[in-house]
Amino acid sequence: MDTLTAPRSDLLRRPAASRWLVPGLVALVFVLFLLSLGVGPVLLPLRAVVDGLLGTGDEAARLIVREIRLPRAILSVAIGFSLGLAGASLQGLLRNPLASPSLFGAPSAAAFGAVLVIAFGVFDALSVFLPMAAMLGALLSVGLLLLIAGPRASLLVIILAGLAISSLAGAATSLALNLAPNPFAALEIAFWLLGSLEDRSMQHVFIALPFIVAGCLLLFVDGRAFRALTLGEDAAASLGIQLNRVRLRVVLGVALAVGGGVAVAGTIGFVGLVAPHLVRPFVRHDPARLMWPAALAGAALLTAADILVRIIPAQNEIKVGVVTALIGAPLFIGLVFRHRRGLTGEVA
Amino acid sequence: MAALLRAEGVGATLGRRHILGGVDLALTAGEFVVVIGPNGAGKTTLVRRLAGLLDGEGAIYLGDQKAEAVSPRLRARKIGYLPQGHVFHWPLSVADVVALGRIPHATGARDLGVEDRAAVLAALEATGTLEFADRSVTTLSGGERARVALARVLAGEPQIILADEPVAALDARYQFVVLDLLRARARAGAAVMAVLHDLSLAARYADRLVMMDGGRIGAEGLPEAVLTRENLASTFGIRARIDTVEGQLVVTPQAAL
Repeated sequence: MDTLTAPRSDLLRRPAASRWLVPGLVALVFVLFLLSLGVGPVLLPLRAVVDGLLGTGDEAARLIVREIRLPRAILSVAIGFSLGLAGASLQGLLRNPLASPSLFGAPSAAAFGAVLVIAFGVFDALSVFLPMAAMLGALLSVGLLLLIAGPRASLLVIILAGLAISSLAGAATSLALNLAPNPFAALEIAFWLLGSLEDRSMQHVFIALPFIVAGCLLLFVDGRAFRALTLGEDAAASLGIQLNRVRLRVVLGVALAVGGGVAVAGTIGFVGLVAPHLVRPFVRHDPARLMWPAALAGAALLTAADILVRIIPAQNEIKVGVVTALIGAPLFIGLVFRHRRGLTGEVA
Repeated sequence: MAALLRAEGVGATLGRRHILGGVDLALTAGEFVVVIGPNGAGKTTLVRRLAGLLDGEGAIYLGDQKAEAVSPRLRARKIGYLPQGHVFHWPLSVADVVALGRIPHATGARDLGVEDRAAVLAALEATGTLEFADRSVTTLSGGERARVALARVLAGEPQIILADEPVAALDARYQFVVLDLLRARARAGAAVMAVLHDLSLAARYADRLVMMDGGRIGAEGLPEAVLTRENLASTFGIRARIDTVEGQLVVTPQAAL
């Protein structure tokens, strides 16, 4: 009997490959983080990066690493991490691999919230009210969409509503900047609509990070609920999952994470869609085990994209949001193509 | 014997439609109750209301406690609910899906404990799903999916099982396999309620038959008392022949009235 059941119980163990996934991704993010400190107009070797970080190297290297590149690297890791996690959570909640914060219009709505605050000069760009306004924007869009979606709306409805909210928020952002008494309005529009990590300081890190961390903590709560939702809402509820609370936590978590990120970096799309997609096969499609790898993959993706924009030779630095969209949008189209039959089906 | 689950004057409203009303029902340990009724009679709504998935009028008691007073987690340990359709939204392995049944028993730690593993293995074995336990559920046939869905419920070792059309997609053999399993659970001390469409199958397995009619219980009792020509005519709107073959009640629907 023992010989029969012993190997069978391996069925419930994690496969060897997935045990190395999280440590591997952590190592990858770490390497990219160091690279991000070394790459730019001035190429610094690892030695100089470490010296700069510790403050033991020469003054120029110390300034470049600590003042210019460190905030940028921290933000790319944190924002990428939160976007990957937000994507995995929304996909878990809706049980659909096409869900992502961008699809919900959350970044656009968050950008509108932030722009409104700046454009009308209520607070400056480093005020804590900026991420709060961005969060409120994201909260409105995600809440509204989940309300529209209800327990049984089709994904098509969500996509259409998300598109409408994105367009509305984008237009409102442009309008706000046009009406604002600000000569740099055009540049600002590009920043908010496309997203960039250029010229961020530690102050940006300090205003964004608390929101991002709080959002991520909220999102990490519900892994088990997402796993139970594999069986649908009724069966998940019958397993003791309190779906109203789960929905509320996800909406708040996504709003906090996206709001914090958008407030300092503008809208960066598709990371939340692509990151979970890349790692899902390695966790055998388990929506709970997906969360850490998806978050780390998001951090790696955004950091890599932000390194890429510094390497590509161009008059002005290319916006990192452009790179993520250029990579993410075709992949999204591919995903839509693969799931096109399911799109008319029910989400619930 | 005391009822494990008891409904008093239970009803439910979906949107503006009053789907269910004035239902009194008790499920006792060791008993296999089968619910029958025409489409739209409120069978699924009754099951969902009993499972605590719908609010509505009336009171539901778990043992001697009001169901609302029991924490969702404890309620989930006691009541196993098998929805109809047997849909899985992610291509998890069969073993992983069945392990979902242990969620109400989880104690904070991430992986399954020794008892959890034993329960999952037992459920896989009982439903004959162990042999394809490492396959992805989205690659399974309808009959295989139905057995995996049942295994998920059994893995939770609930005292009360509420199954909504557990054999809807199954071939004749697996209809017997699944209903035998449910009856075995009842004999082992659980209270089992299942919604069935096949009237002869219902008669064969039911210790007590509940016939739903327009959101109320139209008739209730032993199969031979419920499955009469008059009841079938008034509730289902059919003319049917009722025979006893080798001691089993056989209902042969003949025409719509």
